[in-house]
Amino acid sequence: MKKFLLVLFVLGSLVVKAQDINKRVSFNFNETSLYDAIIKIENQTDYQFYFIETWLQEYKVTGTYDNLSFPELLDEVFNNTLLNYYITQDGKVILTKYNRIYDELPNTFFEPEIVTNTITLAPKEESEDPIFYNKNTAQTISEIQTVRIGKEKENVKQNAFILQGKLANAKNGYPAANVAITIEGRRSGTVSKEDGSFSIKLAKGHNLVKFQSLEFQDISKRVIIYNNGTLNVDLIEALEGLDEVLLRGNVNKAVKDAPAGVTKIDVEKSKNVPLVLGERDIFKVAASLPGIATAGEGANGFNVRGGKTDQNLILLDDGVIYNPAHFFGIFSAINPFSTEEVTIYKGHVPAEYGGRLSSVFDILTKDASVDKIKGEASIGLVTSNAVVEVPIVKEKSGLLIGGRTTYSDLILQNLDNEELEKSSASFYDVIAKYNHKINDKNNLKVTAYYSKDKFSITSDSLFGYSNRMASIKWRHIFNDENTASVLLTNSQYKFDIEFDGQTNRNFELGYTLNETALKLIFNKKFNTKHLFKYGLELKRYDISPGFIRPLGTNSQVESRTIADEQALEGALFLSDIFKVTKDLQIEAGLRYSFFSAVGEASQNIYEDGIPKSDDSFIETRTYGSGESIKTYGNPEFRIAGRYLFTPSFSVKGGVNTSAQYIHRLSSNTTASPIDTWKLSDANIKPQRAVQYSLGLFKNLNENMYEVSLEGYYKKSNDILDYKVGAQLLLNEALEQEVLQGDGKAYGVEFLLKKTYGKFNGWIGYTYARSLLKLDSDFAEERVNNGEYFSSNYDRPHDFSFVGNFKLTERFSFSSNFVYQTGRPVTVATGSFIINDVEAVTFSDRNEFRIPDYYRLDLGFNVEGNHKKNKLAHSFWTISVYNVLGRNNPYSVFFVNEGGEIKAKQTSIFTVPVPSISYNLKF
Amino acid sequence: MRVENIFKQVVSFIKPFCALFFSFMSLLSCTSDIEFENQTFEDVLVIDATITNEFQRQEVRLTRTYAFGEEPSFETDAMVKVLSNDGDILFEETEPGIYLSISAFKAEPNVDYQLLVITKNNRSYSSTNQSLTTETQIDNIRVDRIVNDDNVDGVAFLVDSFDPTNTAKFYKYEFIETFKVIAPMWVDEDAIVVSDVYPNCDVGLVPRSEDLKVCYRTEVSNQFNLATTATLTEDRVEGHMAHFLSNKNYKMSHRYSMLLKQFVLSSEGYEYLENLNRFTAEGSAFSQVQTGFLVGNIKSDTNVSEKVIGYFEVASVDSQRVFFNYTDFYPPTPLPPYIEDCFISAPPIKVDSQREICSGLINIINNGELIFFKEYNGDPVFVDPGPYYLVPRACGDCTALGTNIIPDFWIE
Repeated sequence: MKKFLLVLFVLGSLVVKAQDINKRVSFNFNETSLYDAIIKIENQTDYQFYFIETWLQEYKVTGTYDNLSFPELLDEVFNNTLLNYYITQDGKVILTKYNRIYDELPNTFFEPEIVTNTITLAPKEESEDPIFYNKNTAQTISEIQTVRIGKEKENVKQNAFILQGKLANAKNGYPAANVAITIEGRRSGTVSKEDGSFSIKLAKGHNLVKFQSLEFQDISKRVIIYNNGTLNVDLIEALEGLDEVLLRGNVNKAVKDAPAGVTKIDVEKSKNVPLVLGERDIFKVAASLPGIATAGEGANGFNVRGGKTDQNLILLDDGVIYNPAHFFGIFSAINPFSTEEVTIYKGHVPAEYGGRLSSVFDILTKDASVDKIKGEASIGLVTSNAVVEVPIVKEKSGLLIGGRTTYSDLILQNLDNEELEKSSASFYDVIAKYNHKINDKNNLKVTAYYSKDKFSITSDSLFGYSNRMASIKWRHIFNDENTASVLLTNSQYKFDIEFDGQTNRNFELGYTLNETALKLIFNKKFNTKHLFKYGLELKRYDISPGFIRPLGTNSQVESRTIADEQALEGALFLSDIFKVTKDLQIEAGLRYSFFSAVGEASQNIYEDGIPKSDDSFIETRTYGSGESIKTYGNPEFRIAGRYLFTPSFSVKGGVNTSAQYIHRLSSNTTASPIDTWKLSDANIKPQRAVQYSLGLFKNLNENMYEVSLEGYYKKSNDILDYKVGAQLLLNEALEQEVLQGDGKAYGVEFLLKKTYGKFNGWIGYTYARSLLKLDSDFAEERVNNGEYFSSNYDRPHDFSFVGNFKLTERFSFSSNFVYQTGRPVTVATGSFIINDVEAVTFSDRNEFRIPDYYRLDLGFNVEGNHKKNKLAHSFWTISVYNVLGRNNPYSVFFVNEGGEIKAKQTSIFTVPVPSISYNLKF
Repeated sequence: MRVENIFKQVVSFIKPFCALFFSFMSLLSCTSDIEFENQTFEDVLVIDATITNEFQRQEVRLTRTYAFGEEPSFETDAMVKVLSNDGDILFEETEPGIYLSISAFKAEPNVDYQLLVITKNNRSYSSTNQSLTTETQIDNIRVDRIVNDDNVDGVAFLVDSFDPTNTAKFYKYEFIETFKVIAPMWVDEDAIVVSDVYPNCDVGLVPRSEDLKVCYRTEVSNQFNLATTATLTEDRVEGHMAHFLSNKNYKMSHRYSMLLKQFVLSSEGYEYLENLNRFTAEGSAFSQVQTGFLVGNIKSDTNVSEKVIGYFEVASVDSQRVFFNYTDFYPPTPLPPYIEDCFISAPPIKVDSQREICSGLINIINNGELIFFKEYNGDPVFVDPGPYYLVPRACGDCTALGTNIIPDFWIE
């Protein structure tokens, strides 16, 4: 049974300022009911009380309390009651009956403070109800279950027996550690170990055993013991009202974790960030953190620490998602309701991950509930979303199913615009996850995911793309020191274009990428100082780089298919988290990655030393099935260290090298769904990078504030770029269109985070540069004279602010402000006449910048009441995107309008976009 | 064997609907003008050189790049010649920046041609060797009334062409349009100044020549129009739209003629122009192309890092002429709006006693901006009216827009 310890009592008192606990107060009560006394105290101080009203009945307060500190006053008032109190930092007084709320773990459990003195036990009278109890305690006592251990034997002289057992979390079966086990009326007790086990000596006969911890609801068992025995107890989580205590237990992570440049996003909390078109989006939250930037509205992909959009490994339950965006990036294709947590590695990337240069987005789906049906749904203006968790085998396995879709088609068809009525746009994504706890040692998780986008903009074109992913993860625990995981994943990305117009050129065109990976990970604890992780990863890519075939009988389009590409990518990895001393921790990893482009395939061969073109082309060589075309290998070093100056202040540093063998081809600044991915081969080398990072981390005010300052320097080689006018789609000689050059990125990132309290949120600022150099002995392969120039995503200043203000438990405001330097562009600078047509000349590449980007979003959340017996909890989210109506340029282009050249900018969402969504959780 | 990039042009099919995607986004998006400051433009030589298999004095134009809003400047006094294994062909400058071959010639198949330019400051530029592309005929030009993708009613010129050898593949279309202009407010009288000697300021009427009523205006195309059959099984251009005229365009009001030229380009030359075109084509908002300096087939021999714009092409060409009347597709009235807004005014004669000169109507007749329409009829709308109603010159005198000499090729 769930108890709501807290009932929101006074909604009306809205403003709570920082409290001065030592401020003197005076009160005078004369036979005042305790309830009235508390109201009076509330009215005259800034504190708010939380309690269950029935607790206060029967108590009266009499006395004159003059010039006492607030705690002193409470001591007096609650003297002679069964009530304890706890004062939170933001001025809440939480009353508890019998037990106290502790603000540290868990030493005080051994103090004899948990005392209720109202139970009288009558030994050896087990056949009848032996308990005489005081009326006041009826509510609690009536729920106590009686357990009999052992059989009473005569002639047993022993007066005490050992009770052993295991405590577990009823929700997920995980061991419940650090639970205090005490015996009513006695000054002894014990605490459960990490594996949940405990052992305690009980007196023969009746004992009232209490299990208490901050994590779980208190539970008591009446144990009648006549011999040594075992008692296993499932504990129910008790998080309500204690959130803050729990949070603070974790929050020190930012300082204590060894690697720098790792960010975790709590998806549940991200619901407070204002939305666009009513959609919660974990990627948008990510982009508000330093070092992670998007190209703007309607743009796919992220630039992490000055890296290209294809340098991010996006993993959903360990499977790669190639294009996690709907509708050209306006919506994310990852369902926020099914997502538990996102970890972003932008600095130190653990050795088990690889294959991308800039970052890893590790997205984990929630484990489905194994004890009851749960669900969450939202209805917005453009999309709807629902997730349901269903237990399959009680306490063992559950299935989560989620789906999202849009009704934009409906909107389009009802628009009063002839052009748009013809168009259609739709998308959906579905996810299913099955988790099964086979036994204590084995655990199985299976995820399947599919997302699909479809557009039909005119009556003669149809455009679609999809992501498909499946993963299986089996985790086995050998013993306390050794565990292993086996992962099998398959991912597919696909797009398809159909053109059905008037001429003889109707066609269907498509692209498919498929990868299958097997990964083995072993974890080994070696004494208390080392945690080893090692294993191997094997991947096979199968790419169909493009086909075109005629559509309809009249089409004269020649059916052609560009030969498939295959490759194997593998890696061996080993890492050790080494606690050198209490303060110094080192995480050292080594990954050896290797890549082989294999047949059956054909490969264009060129003369060495001159630009790849039709002139230097020698032959097209064909390779048989499985024959290796070109092999690359790269040792990658992943080293990070942390030194604690004080428990709340640390310095971290790291060196990371990485290699990438698959590249997104996109001449757009932003990623687009018709971008293809190309494998390295004899002509296209892998991209490589090394990053050095150093950061300072400090937590203030009992971890309420986190401050960090991180710097990095990244050097990369063989970064892919394109010749002027490059044509990338369905090109059999792509290598003639691409250039490979050196990249250089550096930056300083500052983050100040307030982690809890009525007002929370963060401010981030990044100063960063991202430069590229394309040099060659040949003019056609040289850009900007072979000197470093700003990359497309070089945006030196990036400021973001995310703030939530909780007005009351039900009403909260949220806001989000972003400022970024405008991105670099190449602009037309002059004209010339050729063939009687006016054409344009351009500046150096990326010599100019579009105007700066800034945007303010505001949101307002209204939660339904928190009544305990409501079937479902609901909240409304009202938000306005781009409140300032800023006309942020998305792209710049040049047109010849009736013989006159004009520079144009396109912007999306140039006006404030309001939205409202209704969310339901049960 | 060369590597074929024949699929490249598929992108050009995709582009139109990418543009339309943007119109969908325009629900919430908008396009507006933007300006970039502190632009410096680079002064670069532009060599516009296409020689064809048409027997004529071949033309090479030398200009320079220019800043927006300005006019191109000409590269004069250069030495231009085309080298070939049939001998060198010399060019002479006939107008500033325009160099014609001294004698007429046509490019022959299987001959290598190389362009050589030496400017007056002694910089030398040369092209790679080019040879004549496959000769292919225009089979047919259809003139059809259609409603285009932008929902505009008008007349389309649709080309068919077929190359059985499947080697032409890359086509460029240019046209010269000539159309009849009938001055809508032509009358048989003209106002003249009888006396403009102060204080005797006087005007009168004389008969107007019939010759000013019907004229012929000629314009050349100023947009790239390219087509490729590289993605098709056959080298067959079918219904390619070489031009589209809106029915709101005054050009089609009476009788219209187009001389359409079909050039067969080399694949690299095609790519060069296609890229230039993509740089400024509508729809590039989404299908952003990497812009920058395009390297053609002409290089500076004097300084290898010097930029030079242009692609020397030896193209086969075929042309065909078509005619149509407005009434072939539309009822005789209403006609498309005239090019000129024919507003009517009645300016008075002014006798400026201060400066002792005649002005007002006298000046207007003298500078010819407005011409006589009819005599003032006492309409009170006009404040301080003069003796005549006047209209802009083009409304009553077609020679403001074209020539009244019937072109040789004209067939009624």
